[in-house]
Amino acid sequence: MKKIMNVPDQFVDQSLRGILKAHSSLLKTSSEDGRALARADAPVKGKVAIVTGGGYGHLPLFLGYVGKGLCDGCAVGNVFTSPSCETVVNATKLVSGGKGVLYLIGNYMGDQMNFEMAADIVRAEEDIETILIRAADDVASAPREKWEERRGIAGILFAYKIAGAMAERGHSLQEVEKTTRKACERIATFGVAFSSCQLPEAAAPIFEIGDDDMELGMGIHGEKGVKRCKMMNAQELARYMVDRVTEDLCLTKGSRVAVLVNGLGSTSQEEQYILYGEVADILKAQEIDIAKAFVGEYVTSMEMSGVSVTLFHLDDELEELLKDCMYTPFIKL
Amino acid sequence: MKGHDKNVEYKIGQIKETLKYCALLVSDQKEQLEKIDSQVGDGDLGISMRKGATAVVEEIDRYGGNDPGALFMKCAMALNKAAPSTMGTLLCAGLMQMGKVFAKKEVLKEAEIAEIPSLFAQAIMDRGRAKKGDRTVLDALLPMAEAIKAAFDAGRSLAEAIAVGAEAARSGMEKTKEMVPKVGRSKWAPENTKNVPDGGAVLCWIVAQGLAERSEQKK
Repeated sequence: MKKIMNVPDQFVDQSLRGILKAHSSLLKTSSEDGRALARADAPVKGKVAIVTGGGYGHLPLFLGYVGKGLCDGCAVGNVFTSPSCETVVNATKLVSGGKGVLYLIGNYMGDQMNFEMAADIVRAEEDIETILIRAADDVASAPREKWEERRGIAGILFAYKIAGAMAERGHSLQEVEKTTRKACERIATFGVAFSSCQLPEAAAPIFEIGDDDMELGMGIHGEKGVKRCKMMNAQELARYMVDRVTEDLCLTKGSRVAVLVNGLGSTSQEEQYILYGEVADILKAQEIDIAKAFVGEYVTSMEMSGVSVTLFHLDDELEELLKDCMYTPFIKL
Repeated sequence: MKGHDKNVEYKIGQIKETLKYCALLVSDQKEQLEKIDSQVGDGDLGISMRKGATAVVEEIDRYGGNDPGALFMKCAMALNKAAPSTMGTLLCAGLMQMGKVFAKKEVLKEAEIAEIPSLFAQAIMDRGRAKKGDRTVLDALLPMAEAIKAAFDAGRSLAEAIAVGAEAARSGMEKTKEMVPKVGRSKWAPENTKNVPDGGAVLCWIVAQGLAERSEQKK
């Protein structure tokens, strides 16, 4: 597989270097740890700070969500690997503005443990209060009654959006937590993959898949899905994915949702919009109202091809928060 | 060796030497761990454990103090920084717990050494929220910890207790071949784990076996 790089084991650091050079007015890095980054104006005094992080290889996730209206800081790991707890500690110190810190991450064991250890350390050493929330939206990875065990995938966009808006409006850590938890429970995503990606230091792609095949429910690191089948057309694909998600969220006539059609890295925007057109038709037929649509690459898996559909079941409070401004080098609204 | 004298004390030099020995045991098994993990996980266990072990060895060589607790804490952070994978982080949690319990003690008594596997297992359970039977490192580590403690409390020497513990770790590791994964990445592909031991359990057995052979040679 062809990749632009110099030395495979410098993949992450050289990519971060480029991001900082391109966006020096919006992002900064900890002086002692190049993997701990923050918005340029951090710490914002009197605001709950939000720190995220995880393995690299999912841009704009996680670092791309650092900016006004979203996250304050990010701890960057190696490709598909959790950041160290030291990096999480350094990111926390960089952004803490005295009103507490929300750790908002995807639900993966390595990330969770490192953020929990970091929480212990910043409490003991810096007296910083933290709360950890894990986004867990992948319908294919666990049933609704165990939704908190699900993998975190593209739906985390909405968790960031809500948490970020709450924090920017000046709410307390507990208030930010309460509304973000409510949001997380109302987000559901179903993803499919058509081709694999390859780790920079690896000799082969992370999984094999036939030219005419697709995998339903695959995770964003190539974790096994629910089944393999022949490629579907756009209408069939939209139907399959939307059904999984609307059933999961128990959406009915009159429900209001935000929709995200997310490309995994090498599926074209043209295709993403073909799929979105079908998704919108299906929802309209069921009289489910779309309050806001997002189409594009929000959570990727390097050069993997595939898409996911996320629905976020809104109520008045969440819909209002969704309208707030967000501005990062990668994401603008 | 005065194995039955339970007042034998271990100073920082011996503790450093033993910890380094364990790290090198882990590092030497890169290929075996890689092979197991590529069948059930994402294949990075061997390389991440070698990176972690190398960082621990460097930290041990750098440490000039005489506080075993501080040494364990520094090794925990170095290990996590070099290998923040799930296994690396769990081992870090174990070392951090030892760092807390042994802080500011200049020497460790044999009874305290015999408690280390239990301390380690408890820290891994707390951090990883796994329990016995979930097909993890705990399925070798818990039987090992119980066997060592039981043998030591029954009056056996530390060396004898470690030998009994190594056998318990081996038997626990063998049993993971038939277990269904409940936590971690392999739970999403449980059919791949049949007849393959859990990588973490193998790691535990390797260290236990190595320590048993070492104390045998020292007799």
